[in-house]
Amino acid sequence: MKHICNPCGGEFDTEEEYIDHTCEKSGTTPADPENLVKTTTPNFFYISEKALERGAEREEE
Amino acid sequence: MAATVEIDEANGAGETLTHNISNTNMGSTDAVNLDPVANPITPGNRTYIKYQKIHVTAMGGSSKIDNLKIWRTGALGTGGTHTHVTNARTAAYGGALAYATPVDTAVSGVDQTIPTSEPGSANLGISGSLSGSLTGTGSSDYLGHQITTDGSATAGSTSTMNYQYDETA
Repeated sequence: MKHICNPCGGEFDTEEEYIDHTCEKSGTTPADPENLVKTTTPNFFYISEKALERGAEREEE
Repeated sequence: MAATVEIDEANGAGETLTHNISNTNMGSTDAVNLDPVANPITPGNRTYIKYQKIHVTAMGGSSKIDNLKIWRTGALGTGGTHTHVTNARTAAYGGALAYATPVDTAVSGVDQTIPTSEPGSANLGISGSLSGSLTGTGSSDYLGHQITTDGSATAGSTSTMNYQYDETA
């Protein structure tokens, strides 16, 4: 399976290589939330906050 | 810190996986981020199926990602009866959808009408189970989805795909 970074077009043989690369569009790796904010998902921190809230609510139940 | 979560899409005979996609435009070709104007659906036909997944690239100190929910908001278009079908479902989940070269014909197991509001429970699995979870980097099962149109369809519609997960710190 070939892996492609949508924002910068980089091609990788493995998922690990993809996650470890520094995206030319964002200047960060795909493991860094800033990568999403700077490329496809500018509101990612809001999405993440809401996901954590839902997780906390379920933990309390 | 929190988990980093992106949406990926697979295409082609060799399952090329494009990470961190920009959109989920549907049309008459198998391509990521396709141009729907250049690749319109002939009324009465189906779009090419999309194979997408939720991908955790880092846990960021969190312990669990689970409760994956997929739904669509917005109308599918006018001039006929159209259906947006998927393998995602809250009951009788068929396990992990196997990838196959995307087609514009019916795909076995991809026949549930996609919800138009947030489902009450998970409808996309992890490791083949709706109660599955990710505790490290990894991906959900494939979400397969496809739009069917009838002969009265008119051109153009825009709706929004929603991909939701819960995260436990």
